[in-house]
Amino acid sequence: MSGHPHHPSEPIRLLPPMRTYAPTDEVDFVVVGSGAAGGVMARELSRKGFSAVVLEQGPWLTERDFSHDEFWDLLHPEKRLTNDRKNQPGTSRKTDKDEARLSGWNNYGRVVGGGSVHFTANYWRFPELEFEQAKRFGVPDGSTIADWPIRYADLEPYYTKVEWDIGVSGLAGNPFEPPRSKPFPLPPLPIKSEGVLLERGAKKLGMHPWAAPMAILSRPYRGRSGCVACGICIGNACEVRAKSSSLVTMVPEAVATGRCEIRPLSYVRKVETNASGRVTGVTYFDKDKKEVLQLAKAVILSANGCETPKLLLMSATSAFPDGLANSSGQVGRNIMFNGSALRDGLFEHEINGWKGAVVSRVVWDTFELPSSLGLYGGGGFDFRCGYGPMAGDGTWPGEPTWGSAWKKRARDYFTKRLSVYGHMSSLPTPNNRMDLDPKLKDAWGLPAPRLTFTGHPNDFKLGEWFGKRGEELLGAAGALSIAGEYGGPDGGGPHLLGTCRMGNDPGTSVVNADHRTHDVPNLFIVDGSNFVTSGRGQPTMTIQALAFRAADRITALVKAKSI
Amino acid sequence: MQRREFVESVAAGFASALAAVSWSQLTAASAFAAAVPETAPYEFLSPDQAKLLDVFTAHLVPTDDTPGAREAKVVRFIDHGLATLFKDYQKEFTESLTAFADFASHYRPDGATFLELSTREQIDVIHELERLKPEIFWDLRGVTMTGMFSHPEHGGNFGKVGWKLIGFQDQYSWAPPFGYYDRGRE
Repeated sequence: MSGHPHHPSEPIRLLPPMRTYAPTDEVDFVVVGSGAAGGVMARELSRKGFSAVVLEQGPWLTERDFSHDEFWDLLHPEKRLTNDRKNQPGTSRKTDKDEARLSGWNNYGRVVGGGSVHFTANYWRFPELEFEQAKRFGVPDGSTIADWPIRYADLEPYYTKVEWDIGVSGLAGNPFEPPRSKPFPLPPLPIKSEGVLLERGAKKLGMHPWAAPMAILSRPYRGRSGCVACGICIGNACEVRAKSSSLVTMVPEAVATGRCEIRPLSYVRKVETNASGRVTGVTYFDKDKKEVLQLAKAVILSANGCETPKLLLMSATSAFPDGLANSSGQVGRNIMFNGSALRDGLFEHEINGWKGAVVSRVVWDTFELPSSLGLYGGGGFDFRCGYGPMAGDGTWPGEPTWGSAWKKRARDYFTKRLSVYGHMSSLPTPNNRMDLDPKLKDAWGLPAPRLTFTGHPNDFKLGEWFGKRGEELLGAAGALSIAGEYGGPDGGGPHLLGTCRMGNDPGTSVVNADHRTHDVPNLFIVDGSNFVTSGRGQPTMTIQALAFRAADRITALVKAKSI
Repeated sequence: MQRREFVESVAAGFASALAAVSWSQLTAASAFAAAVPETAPYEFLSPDQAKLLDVFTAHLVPTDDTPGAREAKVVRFIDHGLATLFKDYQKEFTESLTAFADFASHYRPDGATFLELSTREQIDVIHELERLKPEIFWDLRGVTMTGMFSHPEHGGNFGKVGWKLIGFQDQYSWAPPFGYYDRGRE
């Protein structure tokens, strides 16, 4: 047993003592990644009695390392929450004919807890139709959309488990939410002015606004503080442990089992295989960039929809020439980011969106659209304005941008504006994918991830429709003026989905419904890369529900001596 | 906007330096004393550059019935920032400022510099800059606004005059009502 590895002189003990393993110890599981999925896998598997080592690229921080300071990353680069493009660049291009250029397309949490440390915390369940759209609506031209090998009913108990185990605030009864077996464990966060305005607009349009389900504690829960509404929540880590990240929920509970070691600053470069095609462990760079081989009976990749396929492609051997677990050629393919439709509204009175959590009300009437529109997919809306004071330089079209005239309006721009945000589905296509850049390397000498991406034409039309509907919501809510016209598929971002899709057919998918790779019996993938479809935005809730279910499935396989 | 903004948050103006800072050259700027004497030498800017920036930023955020860029000590923020946190941005910034000075010197046939122009002419030049050279205008505006609204510990926003201007309060905890519309709903 040893203490917390990165705060040796910690005066306040923030974590229980932690069991550690030697690299030569063949642990039951190595989990690559400690975020939304990796945290759940670590906690569930160690609670079920397995030994586990979690390898995380980034540092292990605590709330004492967090700040809302806009230049925190510059002052304390060792405490940054996300991937640093200088050390880990990416490239992107639209089509195979283009040359890929430097791009920050892949944005992910690179700390213990992953992206859940800084996320907005929208915790939407997928609607039932999400899992069988190909069957119900067909497959549009130019898309590889397919049905999931599981249905909502398979995931429902795990959605509920997420809500109760990590702490999700909300209110049961949203008419567009699929059936639930239990109410939320916590009441909704307080309604904000954005929420009141969304209610006003939506009701006028005959829609059904509802309390937003948020992975932020509205009250103290399981030893953690309730939200103090400090604000500027998105992109920042929570100093009071109210944001239900893996860092403050799953990770400490995994460590407390005495069977799980979290090993930060460990960047996995290869999944090792033996002559019989089984995984034997992983090789990673430690904090000093020295290579270490950690042995394991089985490996679980929860590194995110970019880092997981990247690792598989980097793990090619003569037996797996196109990358590990890639006999289907689907590793890295079918990439989806969700789509966004945005409009800004200026209102008469103060909204002050910079206080409190980002979202308090949602509208889900648009999860499924009338077939007469000829659009595939759907999405949901919120009203939000979570900007900090650095957004004090705001302007408005047609109005002065500087001088005394601008100064007189600066307060209005900051306090009386909000954005309607349409969160949308996106279609996978045969050619949209990530792979390894043939030239560019990162600071460890590993290939940079390369994106090839052109949004499906449907998703641009979807963005246009959601943008117009968003304008109607703003108008009905009483906006004095409406500006901006962004709508369409995101060409990158933190929603890294679909790149190791789940399916029953080994020819068209990478993992089966148990999250086991079709090609390697003791290699599992559990993260956003498993998504067969994108969801209507907000993937993290489903990533965690999948992870809880995967832990049960994998445990069953061990008991059946099938791994 | 938030998700996309977050992705692109390091894409514009001064912020482009965030992705490119040389970590080893960082100094602890967090305690930069706002009490730098007016006569203290500049760390990065030449006296001429500082004077030009002083007048330019005071046009952008003038001192009228409320404090402006001068009271926020925006020029000191820019100077200190370029010497420390935003060191990698020195070249780009200098090019923008030089391009602005050059643009202004073509305003009058006699080639008068920006500082030699009348106040009315200076304002006209900035309008023309915004219209004809928007990338330079928005670059310099971005730097100015960063000095207005970033945390005072970084040297600008002195006395929180920027935050007062926009109605931001750095209180660490809030309770409803947060704004006008949620009154009575808490």
